[in-house]
Amino acid sequence: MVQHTPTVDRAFAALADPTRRAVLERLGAGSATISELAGPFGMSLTGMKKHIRLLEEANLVATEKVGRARRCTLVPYAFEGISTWLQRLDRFAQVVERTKGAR
Amino acid sequence: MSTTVTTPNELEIRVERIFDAPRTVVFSVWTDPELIPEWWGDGTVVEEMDVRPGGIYRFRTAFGVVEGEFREVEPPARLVQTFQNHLQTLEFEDLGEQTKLTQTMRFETTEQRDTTMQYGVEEGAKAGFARVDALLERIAA
Repeated sequence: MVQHTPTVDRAFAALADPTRRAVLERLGAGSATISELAGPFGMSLTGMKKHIRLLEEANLVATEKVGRARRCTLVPYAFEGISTWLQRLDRFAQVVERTKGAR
Repeated sequence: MSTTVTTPNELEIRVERIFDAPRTVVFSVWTDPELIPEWWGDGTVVEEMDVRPGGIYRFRTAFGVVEGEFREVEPPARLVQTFQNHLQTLEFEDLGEQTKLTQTMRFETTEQRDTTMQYGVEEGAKAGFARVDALLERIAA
């Protein structure tokens, strides 16, 4: 039986929507305010706020109030899990081997 | 080499692994900026790596920026650093020709800890993550 944490469930639910995936792609190029995001998607501020809230609850996007605007940023390594880290340690072990040989 | 992963309490993940090399070598691979791209992967650029307490590190990787601050630096035995959303304590134990690395990751909440444990671990999630990886690659491009 696979157990999902609430955050993982929310991440997949958040990614199921094409607009939210497009917002993530846009944020990959740099942070943006909610109104800057709403414009190109032809969306109301309220609509975009809902999408951002879902992405925020899924731990994919972080927001910060700057003056009267809310700035959205992609959470780096949002999908970094322990298995990714273990694979990296395998590569680390290979570099250790090579370094050891070089000394 | 086998790796042991445990959750010793509500907030931590502990990874233990033995490397077939002396402690100074293992510590140097972790802290030498020239070696970082070799194990962090293609295209990794070390923008800053000031290995001393209060010093900052920042790598630009295929998945985004990785950054944190060194808190304790005691070569070749111990390193404490922030890493994204958590605190990492690395202990390098001298076993002669081998070194045991104990890496303890401490999160602010149990939910954050569990999320990190969960990502990529579930078979059912893996297909989804392949798509997510592709998405993230496009974002990074």
